[in-house]
Amino acid sequence: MRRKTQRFSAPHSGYNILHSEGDACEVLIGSDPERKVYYEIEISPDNDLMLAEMVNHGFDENNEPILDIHFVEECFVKGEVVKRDNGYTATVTFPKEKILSGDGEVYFNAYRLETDGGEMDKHLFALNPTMLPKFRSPEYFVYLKDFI
Amino acid sequence: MLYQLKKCRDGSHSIYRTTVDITENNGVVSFKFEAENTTFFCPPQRL
Repeated sequence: MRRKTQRFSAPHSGYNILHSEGDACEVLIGSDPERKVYYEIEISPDNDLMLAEMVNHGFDENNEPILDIHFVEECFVKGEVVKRDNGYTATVTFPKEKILSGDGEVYFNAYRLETDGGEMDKHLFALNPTMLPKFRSPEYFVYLKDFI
Repeated sequence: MLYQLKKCRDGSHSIYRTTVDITENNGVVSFKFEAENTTFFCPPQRL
């Protein structure tokens, strides 16, 4: 993935850490009718949060997404993780008005990355599968109103 | 409402059970993931 990081700020410990190479649960959500601009929320089993506004410029010659990543300095997402012997519960909560990225219906997809100890791309699960080994496929976003 | 996540690549049953409960109350949206079977792998920050 080609990343163009506009600015990075980590005002909190465990906030806006790029942890997508490990285990995480993620939500991509927005309302831009063109599905180019949306928010990415990641939470790790250690309750590290990443919150960024993503601008998706399509895909490069290797079919990797071309993204502008704008980390959100003022975190409006509350994260909570409870670890258990055989897994964890991760909850992210946020005001819907904060993730509006356009004047369309709110769309999203939800994912889990599980690396089995660090093996990249080993397991990727999705609410609405993209039928690809990658999850950044805006055409597979679904409407929030249909899932609540 | 509660949903089961599936294998992203082909939509088949996920090897490790994962659910997400999606709710909205008074304009506040919540995604609650239940992730079974994990090594809790959280690598150091890499930028």
